[in-house]
Amino acid sequence: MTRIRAALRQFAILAALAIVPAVATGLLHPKRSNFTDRIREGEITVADAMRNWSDCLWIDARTAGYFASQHVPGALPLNEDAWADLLPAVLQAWPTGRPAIVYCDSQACEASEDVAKRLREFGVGPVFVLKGGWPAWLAAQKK
Amino acid sequence: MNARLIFLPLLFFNPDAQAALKWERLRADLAPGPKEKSIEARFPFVNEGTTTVTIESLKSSCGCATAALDKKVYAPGEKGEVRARFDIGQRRGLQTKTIAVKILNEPTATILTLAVAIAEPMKLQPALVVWEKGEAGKPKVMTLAALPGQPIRAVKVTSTDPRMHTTVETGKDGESYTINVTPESTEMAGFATLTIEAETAGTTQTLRAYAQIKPAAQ
Repeated sequence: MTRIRAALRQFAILAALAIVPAVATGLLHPKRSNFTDRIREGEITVADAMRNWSDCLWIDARTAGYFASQHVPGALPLNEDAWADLLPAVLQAWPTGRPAIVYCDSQACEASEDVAKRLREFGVGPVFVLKGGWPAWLAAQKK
Repeated sequence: MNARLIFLPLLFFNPDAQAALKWERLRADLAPGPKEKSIEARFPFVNEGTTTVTIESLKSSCGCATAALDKKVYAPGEKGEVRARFDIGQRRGLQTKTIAVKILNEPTATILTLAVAIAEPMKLQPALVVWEKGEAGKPKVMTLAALPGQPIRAVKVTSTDPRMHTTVETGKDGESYTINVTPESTEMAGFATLTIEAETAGTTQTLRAYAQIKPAAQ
């Protein structure tokens, strides 16, 4: 009985030693898994965009080369490399109150967040970031 | 406690799984000057392990940041560095970008952070004024505010559309300026880019603002 208790105690210690780094990794590691896959504030999925905002203004925050090769139909380019040159066309095409949806290369790409943040300052309409970016839009077209 | 338990933590410590690269720093805080178009940071490292380290890839979180290495394979004791370059473009404010360094046979990447504080020597609010087509063409106001201790000395506004008129009023001690924008008429939709040149802290800064007469809401 004593040996079983000792074994259980050792098992508990082992488990505790493993759990601490595992939890720390799960919470703090920059590349931690996103178990919930939740939508962050200001984000929108392709499905929700198509369902609710078919008249939205698409903004492509990728670099000029990527935009030139392929983009969401009707999208306008806007990135912070050429902000002042590209912004006038966006403001002219953006009807008051209508949403703008910004996308870039991937989920890890930050350009869409940066562009969305600056666009919100103009107060023309709601601004969303497309969850999953361009790959998510491409994948949705194949369904 | 059983003395053998003292060695239990060793079960979780696999030297091969430890990053053999020791980095001099993982974050670079940079403050480019007003005329710089790009800025670089170096992230030196040394292979403190007993085996060769191969850097598989460097992946940036932004097209504005690139990273380079002289080579990919580092012998024990060998030093190297990741050279990161951030293109300022027309970015502003604090820009935090990362470079993921993926090492062969290591499960997670090492994250290098570039924190670039791009100075904004003055603030313009709002940067867009809008009239609806047919609306009374009353003046709309933009305010240009200086940073504390950095007064604005001269402000000049030009418009791409001569029908969009502007006047500038100087505030107290150059701390702020009021820019009044008035359309000649709102009968036609139109759009003007306003270029605002202002002198502060010994340099001439250029800001852009926009004035628009929009078609009536559909």
